[in-house]
Amino acid sequence: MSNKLRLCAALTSLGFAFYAAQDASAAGRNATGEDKDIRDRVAQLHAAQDAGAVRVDIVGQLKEALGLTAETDVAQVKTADWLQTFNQQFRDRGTTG
Amino acid sequence: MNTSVVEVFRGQLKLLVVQPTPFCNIDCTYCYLAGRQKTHRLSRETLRRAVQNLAADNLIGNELEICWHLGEPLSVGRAYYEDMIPALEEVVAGRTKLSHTFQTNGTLIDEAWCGFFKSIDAQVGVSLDGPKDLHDRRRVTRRGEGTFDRSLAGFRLLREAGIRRYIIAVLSMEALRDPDRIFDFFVGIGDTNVCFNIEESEGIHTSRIVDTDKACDLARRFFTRLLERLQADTSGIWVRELQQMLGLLMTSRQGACRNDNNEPFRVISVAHDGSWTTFSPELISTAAPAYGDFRFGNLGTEPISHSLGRSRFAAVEREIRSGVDRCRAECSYFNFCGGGAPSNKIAELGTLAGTETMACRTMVKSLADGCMDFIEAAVLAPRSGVAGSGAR
Repeated sequence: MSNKLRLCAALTSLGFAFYAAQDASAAGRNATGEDKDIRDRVAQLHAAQDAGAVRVDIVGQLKEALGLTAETDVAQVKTADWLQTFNQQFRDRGTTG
Repeated sequence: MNTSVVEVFRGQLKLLVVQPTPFCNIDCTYCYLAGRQKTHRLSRETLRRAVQNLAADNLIGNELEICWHLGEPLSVGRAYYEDMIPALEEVVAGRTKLSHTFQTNGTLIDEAWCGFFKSIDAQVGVSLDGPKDLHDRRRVTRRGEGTFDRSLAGFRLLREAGIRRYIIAVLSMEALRDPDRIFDFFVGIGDTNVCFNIEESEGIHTSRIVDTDKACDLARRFFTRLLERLQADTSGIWVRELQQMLGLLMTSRQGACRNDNNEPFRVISVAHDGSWTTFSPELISTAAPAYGDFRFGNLGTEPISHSLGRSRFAAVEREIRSGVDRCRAECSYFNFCGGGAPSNKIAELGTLAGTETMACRTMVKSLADGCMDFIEAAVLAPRSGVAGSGAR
């Protein structure tokens, strides 16, 4: 697996940047997930992250909201922290409606 | 359930949804609220007692968001809030930081309202369903006239005044068919935070989306396409559903997310007469043959702990938990959802112990699938001529 990761999707306003190795599909999947269990699809993504073939950085306002000082892989964020931060950020930008 | 049981939820209340009036000055075809032609008002004294009673049960922590909603909140006039908000501050007496949100159709916003919002640092959600023809098809006056121009004008005033704001957009089948048009519209407004809801069955409204399979297919493509557009976007548009779902997909290996709709006392809704409900706010306006209504007591007259023993709360809570347990056992999307919403289950299935609803399929499953479609195509698929750059 190559360690050289390339930016392949930057969703700056949402706070995510996706990096992947050229051969990320070896650790992930190489086709769309039609009719596959969502848990398998997500597990493939996580496996690719664990293998170092994919990295998801938190960027922009979301990074500030989470209080991150350096580029941090989203895998290091806990679900509860994510929801709390999301809800707080939503309160700062909008609210439940 | 009594005081000791409510004590378990000490400080857990995060959102108090308050109905200043059930009245609405317009008549949207998909509204879930009953009685919106009635002009009753929540009195200052009832609201004061409601917050005092919530405090008596120790449900209020250091911070509390108050969302003025469940009718058109601006229809009662600014003087109403100039009276109510200091009364609330007096009750909490500095122990709780109150923040205020107004969910409005935007048609009554003027510069004076903006000045008021600014003075209390409120944030304002405006309902705007996209381009004029789509918006005016559903969001109409009682004479059937469209409200797009007035709603958009209200939103623009908020923007000019620097008020924190967001848009709630209800998506019809027509909107789902054209994600680029929807995206371009909201980008065109500028500096926009958008929350999308797909038309659903809640309260007194039954969704007119009859072909759920088609709606799911369209929703999935809709969300994928928005993510594709966001890659190249420089406007800063923010989409609630996409950010939340991406985060949940990334963190889901740690377990299921928490769903405030399915836990008591995280969200409490108070109607104009002081009656209250919890779980989904929409339950305040819901009744069902097997349950009656979902108003469990009156906060204007007594604390929650006093009324629980006499109400159907325990049975309702048990059924909601049963439904969530079934969701956990049966649904592969449970980690990204936390068990659906009681308001959808009761409206679609007639029972709180049910599982999948159309809302689950369109707003959870199709959303999650659409996000994964994007990730697989943009990140995991073999890249030839990939967008983006920057080896690291």
